[in-house]
Amino acid sequence: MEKLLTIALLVFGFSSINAQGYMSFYQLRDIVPQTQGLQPAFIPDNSLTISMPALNAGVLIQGDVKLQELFSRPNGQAGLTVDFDLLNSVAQAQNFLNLDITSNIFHLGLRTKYGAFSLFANARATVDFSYGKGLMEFLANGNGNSIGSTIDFAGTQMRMEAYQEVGIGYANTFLDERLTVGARAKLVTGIFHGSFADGATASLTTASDDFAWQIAVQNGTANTAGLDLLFNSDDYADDALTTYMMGNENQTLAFDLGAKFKPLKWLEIEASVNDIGSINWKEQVRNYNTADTVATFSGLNLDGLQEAGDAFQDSLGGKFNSNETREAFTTNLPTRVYLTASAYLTERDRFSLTYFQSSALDNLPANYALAFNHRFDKFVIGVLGTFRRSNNETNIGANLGTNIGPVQLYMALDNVLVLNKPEQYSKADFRFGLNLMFGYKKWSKKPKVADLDAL
Amino acid sequence: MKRFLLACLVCATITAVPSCDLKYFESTEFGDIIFDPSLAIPVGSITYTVAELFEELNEGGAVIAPNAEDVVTLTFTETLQSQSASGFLTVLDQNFGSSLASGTNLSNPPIATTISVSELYSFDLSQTGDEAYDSILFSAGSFDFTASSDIGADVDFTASFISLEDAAGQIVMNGSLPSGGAAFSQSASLVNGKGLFHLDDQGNPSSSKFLVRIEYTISVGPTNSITADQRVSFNLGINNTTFQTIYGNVGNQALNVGEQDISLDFFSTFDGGNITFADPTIRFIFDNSFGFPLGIDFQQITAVSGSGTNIPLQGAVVDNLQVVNAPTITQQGDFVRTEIEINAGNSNIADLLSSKPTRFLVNVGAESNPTNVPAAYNFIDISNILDASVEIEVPLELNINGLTAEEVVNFTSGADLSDATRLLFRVIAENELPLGGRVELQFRDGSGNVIYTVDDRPAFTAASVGLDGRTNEVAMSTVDILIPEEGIRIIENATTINVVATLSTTDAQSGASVKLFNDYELRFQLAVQADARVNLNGN
Repeated sequence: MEKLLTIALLVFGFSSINAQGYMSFYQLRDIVPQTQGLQPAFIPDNSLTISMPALNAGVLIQGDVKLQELFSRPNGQAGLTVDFDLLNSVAQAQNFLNLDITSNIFHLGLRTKYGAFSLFANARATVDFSYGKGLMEFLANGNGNSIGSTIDFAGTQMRMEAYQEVGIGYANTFLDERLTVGARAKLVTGIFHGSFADGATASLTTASDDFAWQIAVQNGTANTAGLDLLFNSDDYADDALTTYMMGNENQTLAFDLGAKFKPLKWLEIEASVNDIGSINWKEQVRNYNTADTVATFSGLNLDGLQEAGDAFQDSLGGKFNSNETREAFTTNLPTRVYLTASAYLTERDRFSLTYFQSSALDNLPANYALAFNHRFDKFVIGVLGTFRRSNNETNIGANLGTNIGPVQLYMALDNVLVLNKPEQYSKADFRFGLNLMFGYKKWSKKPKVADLDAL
Repeated sequence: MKRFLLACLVCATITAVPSCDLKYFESTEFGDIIFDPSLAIPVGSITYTVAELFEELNEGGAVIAPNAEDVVTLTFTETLQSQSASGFLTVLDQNFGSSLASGTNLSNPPIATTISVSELYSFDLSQTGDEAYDSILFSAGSFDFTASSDIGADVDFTASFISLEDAAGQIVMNGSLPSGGAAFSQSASLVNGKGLFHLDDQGNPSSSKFLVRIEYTISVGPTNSITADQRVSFNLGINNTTFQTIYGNVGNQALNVGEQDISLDFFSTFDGGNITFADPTIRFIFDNSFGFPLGIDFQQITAVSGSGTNIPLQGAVVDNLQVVNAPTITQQGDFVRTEIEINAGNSNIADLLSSKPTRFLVNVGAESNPTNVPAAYNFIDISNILDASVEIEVPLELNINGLTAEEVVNFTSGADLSDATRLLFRVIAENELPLGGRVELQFRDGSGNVIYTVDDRPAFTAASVGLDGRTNEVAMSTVDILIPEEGIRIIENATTINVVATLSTTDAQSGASVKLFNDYELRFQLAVQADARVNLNGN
């Protein structure tokens, strides 16, 4: 039961998108206080903001395959399936799959004359997976097509983790509000982690004559934290998992930094670097190590063999020197960088070009977005196109932020088209939330010319 | 206007989600996830020595081991019926009798008169044949003596049985035969007794002579009258005896060695083709503790082929009586081993084995003191025995030309093939033997019907032979066996595989024989490329 609750928390509780691309959400800027998680220099337009707990939710999934490729429906078959042959046919030299689920548990924002303070708590779960063509070739065709050659699993990276963060932020304006600099400091507590060590790689060479396997493993270590407690909870006290999630030794201090500058009346540039820091995983650590090995497996001694399956497994496993340790390890937080240039056609109309890069895995491709937003008095709307790399489709996104009375509803999608025939797309995200917003009038700019219609 | 627009935007946004086209995911479930890789797997290797290879063809009937030359040899051993001493020889009951006249006429002498009479008797022992015993040590039996008198006066007698001793020494019996009185009767046990029959009544060496001296005195009183023809009559018998040891000559008698049916299951796996052994032997081994030589007659040794054809053993070894030696008198209690070898030089044994016999019928006759050996002093103890065994020794120095061997093995893996769609078995043979083979696999259903056949193809190649008679290379060969999906579906119903191997030795056509040395190995490396279609949902 405890495990179910934990998984439910991971899936549903951490559900305020605050990571990865979220390019459309980024465009809501000063309208929505939670955008400070992407750019600490954003200052909301109101005096006091209180988020609605558990009502800021969202998920982002982005990969290099379309949903209908990941979950395909073979001709004449009603059910969906995972077709490795299809996945292999669309696989590139390097492929990525990213999942991000984040929850803004709490946000309190307070605007001052020259800046804004914030107090926030988030929880976040990410899965980043990268695989080369070799892995998918193996899953699709085994090694039958590679007799006499080598299947290289290099490029396979995996990183999954969940953590919570509690912090404060402050942004201040300078140069008559042309420059804003913001920073957030946060205490990050790691909960779960799983990743392959840097440089982990393997290859399988199949001999052409006797099909003997030469298996090479380098840096074969998988580091985990908290997963043993999660999956083997029966081995621990009943409240061990809850206690661990509430607080443990896997803590670090991390920072988000951002700035925006308006060199021209119509031009604004923004830059932010988020999640600067590293976690030293010390508690509930398990390292699964395989020594660097080049092993040749030519099969079993069949003389008197009884349990072939067990013997095969034992013989193959015996080629490798594996062990389990509990040594602390350090991982950098997946730093996210946003760079944006915006051109204002009017004070209410803005074109933005945004660049996003995450360091969760090596060589993760950057995301780009070209957005247009129009700001009304009580809300802002926008559309944008996002692009990752040549194999991905160009997505059309939209965003909306309102302030109907003290209640703010916001919603942002990088790929609004995913709502119609989502199977045709490789990216889907959805972010929404509710905030209580107070004190707009104090900061609203008075129009220089009376609006007769309003009167 | 702006509020209306805002309301429209919010409504449009809220209604956008339910108005999505999600037909791809509607009313559907995740079906089976199919994993259909092609896996090339090094299954493993198995190495056969020559002995292990032929052990596969043997059902336990033969011992497979190297001979002195390190050539692997098949040896079939059977024990023939043993001949015991008690079954070979019994001592007949002996009964002798005679009478001794007084030889004197005397009537009413005035004074009492004593007349003495004495006589040594020699009797010949009764025999079943031409035995001649010097002595017999008895373990059981009795000696019975009776005497009576018709003499008209009282008689006192003494009977000394010179040829018979009991545990206390020579048996002597005394008694009185009153005139007109009852007869005398007495017995003695022969347990641990001894019969000494080696002297005649003149004291000269002889055999089978039983000596007894009868002496009596007649007391003739004034009232008695005797005549010369009145006499004392006596009978003696040696009855129900068993012997411990007999010395002398047991004569020429038949011994029962018996008939034996020897199964040669090794050859039952062979069918067509030819196999010729260069140096097969049949070795009879006799362990004899009887104190006399034996003549052996190989009356009938016949090879029975699988088709029922009988080929009798012929040659000098059959034509001539063979001799089994015996221990001398100084070797009493010991066994003397005699080995009689039947080989290609003294018989047609090679022809018998080349017929791929499934069994040998062995019928051996034996007799004591055969006429073709010098006479020898005999003895026989009750513990003596003649053990006989036969070894059929077949060194694998042979020529095999197209010999087919069949072996049916159980096939229980049919159910495990349900996910397979294509199987490519690769068999790599590394062969040090001068013996090559082709293999055909016949998959059979439960009724024994062949439902799928993997056609005959080379499985391993014979290595070439050097001048020293040993192979001078490791012959490498690779064979692929492809079983397509339709074949796999058929094989799933198979219960047995009939493996049909066709074997030929190096240069078999030239008739050359090769030797299969004990250190030769045949190594098979097995690999498989299996195309499988696995339902990861387990359906």
